[in-house]
Amino acid sequence: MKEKFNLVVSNLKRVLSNSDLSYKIYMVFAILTFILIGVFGIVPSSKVFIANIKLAIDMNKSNSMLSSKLVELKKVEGDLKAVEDSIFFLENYLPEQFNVQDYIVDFVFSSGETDFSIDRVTPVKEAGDVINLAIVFVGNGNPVELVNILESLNRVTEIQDLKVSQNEGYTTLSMLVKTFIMEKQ
Amino acid sequence: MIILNLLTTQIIKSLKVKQDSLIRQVQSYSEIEKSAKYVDKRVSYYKKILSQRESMSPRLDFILSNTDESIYIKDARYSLSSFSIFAEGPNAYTFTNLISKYLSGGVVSEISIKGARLNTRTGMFEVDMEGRFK
Repeated sequence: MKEKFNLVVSNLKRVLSNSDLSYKIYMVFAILTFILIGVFGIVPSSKVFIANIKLAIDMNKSNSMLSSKLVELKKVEGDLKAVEDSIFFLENYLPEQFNVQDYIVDFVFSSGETDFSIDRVTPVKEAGDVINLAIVFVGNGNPVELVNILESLNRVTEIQDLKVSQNEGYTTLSMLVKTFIMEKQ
Repeated sequence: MIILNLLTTQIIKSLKVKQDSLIRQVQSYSEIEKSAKYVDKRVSYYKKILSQRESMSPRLDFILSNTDESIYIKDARYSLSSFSIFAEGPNAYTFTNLISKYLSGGVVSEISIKGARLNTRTGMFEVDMEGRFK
């Protein structure tokens, strides 16, 4: 075994003692080494570098978006604070829940401006965000004026059906009124 | 190449720190965002209802303002599309005049007389009519 090894070494020494041949061998080794380092070293590192650059660009973009979102949210917060009082009115105009007493108060004030008074109020049907009310007014006022006032309420009121009848000098107005709520989701 | 990779990794780390901080800040506004969206939705819904609402008062005003003082409307029913009236007047001409006014006003599209009679007790004409709004 040792003899075989010594034979190989001596053959190698003999081959390398030829300077032209050894130069060619070293060149081949050098080129092979360069290719190996390129394939197994530089290419993966470059790939990592390119991926890092892409990631950095994406992160920079998303950070910019988040920054502008934050600015927007700060503005929204300011706007919300500014309209805090108006939200109270919105609750009155488009309540989250149906409270018949709130409507009665509105109708009493409205009819008070004419010569009518409320005789009765009955919630008829609730379908989603729409509430129907049957209301009866009695008095001697102008029906057009009363209808006009009711339809001008900020709390949206639509008169669907109106019955006007005269009895013993009094006018009776029976109406079916559609109102709206918006349930909080 | 190794140095460049180290440099980009550091940049990414600092961007990540900044991103985490921004996410925390944005998350702290989630309730505000939620309530702002709700208010916006509610305002839009309110505006939509306001824009779509149909008004009875111009129709009622048209019918009553075109009714001669000599005609007494005993009973009337109005909807957004139609109306019916039971009224009494001194003679047939007042009702002819009334129907003519209704049809020429541009608000009523058709009128049909359901019944007409002379009340011999009061000497008044009683007319029962129906009409449709345009």
